[in-house]
Order: sequence, then structure tokens, then C-alpha cells
Amino acid sequence: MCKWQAVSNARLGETYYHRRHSSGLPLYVWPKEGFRTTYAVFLTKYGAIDNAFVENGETTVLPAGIAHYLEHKLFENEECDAFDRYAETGANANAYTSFDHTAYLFSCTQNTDESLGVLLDFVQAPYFTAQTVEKERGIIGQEIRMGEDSPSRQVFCNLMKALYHHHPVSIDIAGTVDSIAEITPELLYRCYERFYHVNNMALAVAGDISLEQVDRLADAWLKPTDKTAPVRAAVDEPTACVQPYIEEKMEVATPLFNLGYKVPMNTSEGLPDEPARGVAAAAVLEEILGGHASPLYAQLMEEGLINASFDVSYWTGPGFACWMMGGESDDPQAVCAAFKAEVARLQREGIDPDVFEESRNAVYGRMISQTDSAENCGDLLVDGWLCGRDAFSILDEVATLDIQSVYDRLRHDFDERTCALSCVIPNQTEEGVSR
Amino acid sequence: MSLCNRELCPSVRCLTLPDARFKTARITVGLFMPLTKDTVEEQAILPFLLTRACAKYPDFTALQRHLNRLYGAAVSGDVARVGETQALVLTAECTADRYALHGETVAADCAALLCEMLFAPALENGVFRAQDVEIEKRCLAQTVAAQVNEKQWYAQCQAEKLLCPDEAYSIGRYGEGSRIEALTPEQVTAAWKRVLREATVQILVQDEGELPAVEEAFRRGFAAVEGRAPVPCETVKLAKRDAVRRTERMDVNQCKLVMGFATGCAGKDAAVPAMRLACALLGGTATSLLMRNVREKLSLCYYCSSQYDRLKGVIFVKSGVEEANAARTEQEILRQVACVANGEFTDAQLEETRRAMCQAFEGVGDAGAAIGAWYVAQGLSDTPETPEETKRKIEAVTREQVIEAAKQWQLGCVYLLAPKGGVTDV
Repeated sequence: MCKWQAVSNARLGETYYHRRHSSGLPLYVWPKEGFRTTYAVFLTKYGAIDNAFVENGETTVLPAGIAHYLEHKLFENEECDAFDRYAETGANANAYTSFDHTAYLFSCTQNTDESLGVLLDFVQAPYFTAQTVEKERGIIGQEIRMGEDSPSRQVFCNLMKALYHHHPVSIDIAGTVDSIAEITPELLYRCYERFYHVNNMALAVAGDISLEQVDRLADAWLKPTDKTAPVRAAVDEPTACVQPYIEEKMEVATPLFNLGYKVPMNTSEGLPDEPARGVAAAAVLEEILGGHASPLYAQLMEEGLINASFDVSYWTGPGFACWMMGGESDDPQAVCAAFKAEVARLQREGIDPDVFEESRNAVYGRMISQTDSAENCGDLLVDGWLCGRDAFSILDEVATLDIQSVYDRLRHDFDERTCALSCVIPNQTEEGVSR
Repeated sequence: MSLCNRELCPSVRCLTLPDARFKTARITVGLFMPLTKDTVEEQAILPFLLTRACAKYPDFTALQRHLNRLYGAAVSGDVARVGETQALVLTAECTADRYALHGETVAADCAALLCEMLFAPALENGVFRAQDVEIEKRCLAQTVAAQVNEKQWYAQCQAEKLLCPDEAYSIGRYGEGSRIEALTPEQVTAAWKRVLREATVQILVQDEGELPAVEEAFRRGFAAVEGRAPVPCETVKLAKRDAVRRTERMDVNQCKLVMGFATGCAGKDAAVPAMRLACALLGGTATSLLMRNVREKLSLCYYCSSQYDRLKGVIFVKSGVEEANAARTEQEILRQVACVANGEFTDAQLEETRRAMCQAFEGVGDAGAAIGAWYVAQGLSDTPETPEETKRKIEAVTREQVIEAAKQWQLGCVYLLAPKGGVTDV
């Protein structure tokens, strides 16, 4: 049996443990002394971007939204719904599907063993019939409709469409009402068999939990397999974006905008193996470019071009990475022009060492605060497993980061030829008024 | 974790929760004023204006750089509605001192800064600076206008206006956009002075230990306010009335149905715990009657939930549906409401609901922001309940009390936000 390996961080005074269970499943445990809450996540590396697979030399293209549909349906088995079983333990359970993974989770303050048993059991026991799959179509259809009415979601989804030619990050996670109409029990079973097994999954538990508890429950519930983890195919994605501008009219008061810079990927297989140092540098660069202390933020505020919704962020996953700058503005084009000018200035003049130190300090402090709750710690373990990193590695890199690493990102990531602007404008606006 | 509750001066209370588990220190100042149409906007802008700059740090960027040096500390303002009271909330969050790399006293510095912001803002000739006021007016007006972006929130606000017309409850916590745009620096300055004089104040300190110097600074600050005379903040319980209905059409794909109920039970009424449990049984958990029936059995929606405002004594039930299913959804919701009132639920369902609620209360103490929100919601109480005390009250509720509570529910409004071009009116 693999023994628990401790990973400690002296800065935080925190320790988590990991080992591979005899079934093959990676286990992560972060005990939090004095906390009453336990938070557990059982996840698979299967998300919305896994829109096709090859089996016996034959490629099956999957309908958009199937990973999310599978997430919904997994809660139901022949006898009852997993939520009914959680109701008996009192846990607060949920699940979500992202672009690169699907996660099943709960938090509780009592009956932890029972809730963990429910989690490990139902995720490993699929049960799909034509009737139950059909029943879910109306529910998910309404979830899709709800998303279509969300301007912030639409401005993001449209940006992905404008940036990416082939990468499936441009496809909505939930799919469309038409695409989910193609989903059948057979297709769900095929996806399940392919992606839901211990060699493609992990369990992370944080809070009021012991190693002994996790050992015992893992032994009781986990099913070994001889299947191997699927390998994501590389996507041949051009450097250039699809279109420089995309617009949608909706019932909004002020235009919403999102400017994206598509970052060239360094890895041919498109895996999220970005070194922790690169992620740390991006976090500090976010602060330098668009944090409240940045000159750009003050300038745009004073000119009346942005409000508190303004944000600059770096986002990456398997085979994709981009910078986004967005918010609400009556004149998104003017904000974009100012942002591009500020990026060009910093690329030309370099980063002020004092500003770098202050920004690094700010990011460091916020990362420390991130480990304040069982939920956050659990999510850090999840991110660490997905990206193949120790959960403390980004904090450690921030603490020792040098200005050159940040400047290198600034030089490498921002190329005006790879950027696109997405806007959602008020539906009373005449064509092109906001442009 | 024990709560220390001290009155610094009349109607200024300091709650201290020393807790070494957290790496974040948090100081929250809640200033509670009656919610009125005449004052809502000039008061709503204050938390944003006060946290933008102060006499010590008059330049916004210099202030933010100072906060970055303090390990990304953040000071922020917002407005909450607590019953029919407007809560102006200033918050400072920072890393606990033991994580400072050079031995700085981060928490005390941040708390002192928050105190400065409240009592010594950046003024020019005795009034707030015109440019600061203009920036925060525009941001606040855009926040109000952006309500329409989030259709669930928008529909909820419209339903509140429909259920409680001409009552303070239907006043938005930020007020109206056009009135925000008309604010002047003089008006806002007068509002700031009035709030210092008249507000009931709650200061919540969450840190490794106590911060006596901070308490003293706030005490001195309020003691120095001339003519301080806190005004009472009261919430009027909603009276039962005949149901009113309204359909509004907009360019949307999905209908938002919101049904409002008067409960006749609010504030310190003995039946409040039973009302909370009854509402949760109806639509407060993942296995509530609404979720089991409206969503899982009939596949009418993705979400269907109910929420009880124990200060006003109202319940809102919300769902997102196709227009063709709106009437059916409404009927099914009313059927489930009747099920609770008629006792048509199992003991197991009731106990499951109670268990979920109690675990939620037990978890409040594990999240700093949740603790803050818990006490701000009770900011007008001299002796706020701890989550543990509330849990014990829920544990003591009987099945009969739940049924009796639900018998009091009376439909007061049905609001439907529907796509343009449709034909259904509720």
C-alpha cells in the first residue's frame, strides 16, 4: 500500500497529505484543526472540451453539453436520487461541470463517513434509462435558457468563439437545446465508461477529516479498474483569432465588454502543465495591469469609462490560455484603446520595481487568506491535481518571484494581432453605435 | 470562539470574535439608518465614497498602493437592506499579523484606517470633493441600472414592489438612478454628518485576539460627534392582503416567476423558528418539496426555491420556466404550499430539512465572511443570537408548529417576467 506523503508549508503552517489508493485513485486530505466543516470533492478529468473520443480506431464526436448532462444524470440510480441519501446525512451537496473536469462535492458538519460513502458510491454507480434521460431534458433546457439570458455569460462565451477556431473551449459547457436533444442513455454510458474510473479521477477532502477516515472509506467503496486514463488529443489551433469583434444585443443597461488576448501555447500536447512560476507571474501581472492601485484603473475611473466591475484576469486550461480585460462601459472601444496603450507602455518602459514589490505583496497576502476555509483548501487540492502541481507551489513562487518573470509574460502574452473584443450592448442600440 | 459584546457608547456596539484559526482579520462597521425615499440615495453613496479616500490618504491610487504594501488588504463599502433598515457597511480585510513578512501590525493598521475613513474623510472646504462624488455617483447609478442584467435579481425586486407597495421594504437599497445622478457634494456631506449622529452602529472585530486600541478609536470617534441621537430603526410587519398580479415583458428567453406571501410572523415573534423551518421544508434545500415536485417530478424548471425574510415576515418563491409552463408551475407551487399547511409531508422530510439547516448553522463559524454577514443581519439587536443559539431554536420546533406556521401563509403577489411577443398573463 502506498503510504501517505505529507506536504507542508512553513509560511502557512499548513500540511496536506496524498497517496495513491490500491484501486488507483489519487487521494488528497487536508485536515484543518478546529474546523467543524468537512468538504469533499470527487472529480474526473472529463469536461466540456472532451467533445470526441477514439475507440477501436473510430472517432465518436459527442453532442455539446454531454459532460454536463452526465453530471446531472449521475445523481440518479435505480432506487433513489443521491440527494435523497444526502438528505439523510444532512450534507449540503452539489456538482459542477467545467471545461476540463466534472466535480461532485458536499460539505457537512456531521455524519461525514456516511456522506463520503454516498459520494463514493453514487459516482461509481451509473444508471441511465430512456425515461430518466428524457426527464432531465426539460430541466437542463431551462438551465440553458437561464444562461442565454445572462449577459456576463454571453459576453464570455462569445469571446471564446471570437478567439478560438478549433479548440472546444469555444463551445458552451451546457450545450444548446438542440445539441442535448441528441443525448441518449447509450451515449452517456459510453462517456461514463471512458472517463469515469479511478485512473482518471481523484478524491480531495479538507476540514474536519482524518487520514484514517479516508483510508477506511476508500477501502470500502473504491472500485479498481484496468482502464487507463484517456489522453486528450492535441488541437491544431492557429495563433490568430477568428474575428476581432463580436457583438450581441441583450436587455442590458450599460454595454458589457471582454477583450481577450489569445496566448500562444508552448506545449504541443496542450496539457495544463504551465509551471507554477508562470502562474505566479500572471497573478502579479493581473494586479499590475488592472488592480485598483494601477494607474490605468485610476485613469479609466476618472474618465468615466469603467466602474467597479472592471477586471483583468489570466485564464488557462488544457490547450488554451488567454488574458481577459472586461467590465461595463459606455465606450468599450475607448477602454480597449487605453488598455492596449498601457500594455505597450509597460512593454516599452518596463515595470517599476516598487510597483512590482507592492503587487507581489498583495497577491501573496490574498493567497494566504485563500486557505482560510475547508472549501478553499479542497479547491486548491483539486487545482493542484488537475495541473500536476503541489497545492502550495504558486504561493511559494509568488514569495520568491522576480520582476523579470513578470516582464517576460508581459512581452510574450500580449500581441494585438491575437486579440478580440466581445460586447453585449443594449438591445435598443442602433447597429454599431457602441463600436 | 466566544463572542464578546460591549457597548462603546449609546447605540454603538462592538462585537469581538477572537479566533486564531483564521489567517484573515476582518473589521466590519455597520451603520444602520431607516430606509426612506428621501434619504436612500444620499446615504447609499457614503460607504463607497468613504472607502475611496480619506484625509490621511486623499489620493485613491496612493491609498491602494498602501493597501498593497499591507499584503493586499482591502477596504470596501456596500449597502445591505435589513428589513426596512438601510445598512451602510464598511469592511477592512487583511492577513493576520503573524503572516506579515516584516513584523508589521497589519490588522490594527487596517482597522485604524477604517476608523479614519469614517470620521476623517477627504473633504475640500468642508464638503466631499466634487470629483470623488461624481465618480461614485456614476458607479452607483450604473449598479442600479445593471439590476436589469441579472434577471432573477430584477424579478425579485419587482415582486417586492408588487407585494409591498408604498412600504419602505420596496425601496431599493441603493435608491433610484435619476436621484443618484442629482446628488450634490453638499447633500452627501450633510448625509454623512447625519449618519454619524443618528445611526445605530455595530462594529465587528474578527482577528486572532482583541484590538482594544481600535475599540477605543471608534469609541472616541462617536463620543466626539456633536448632538449624537440615534434614531430608531423599525420594520413594519407586512399585513395580509388580496393577491395582486403583474406580467412584465422584456427581451428574454426564459420567464422568471416570483410569488410573494405574507406570513404574519416577523421580528421577535415566537413562531419565527417554526416559520424558518416551514419555509425550508417548502423550498430551502436540494430535496425540498418544490425541488422534488416542480423540478424533479414535473421537469418544469432548473431552480425553484423559497426564502423567508424574518424581519418583514414575507416569503418569496422563485423559479425560471418556459412561458407555456408558467401557469402550471404556479399551480404546483400553490399545491406544495398547501401540502405544508395541511401536514402532507413525512416526519423524515421534516427531520431532513432540520438536519440540513442545523448543519448550515454549525458551518457559519468556519467562514469569516459568513460570520460577518450573520451579525450584520442582526445589527440592530443588542444581544445578537449566535448560530448555535439559532440552531437550538430550530431543533426545538415541533411538527405541529411547522403546520401552524404554514397555515398563516397568504399569497400576496404573482410577478412574471416574460419574453416579448408572448400571450400569457399571470
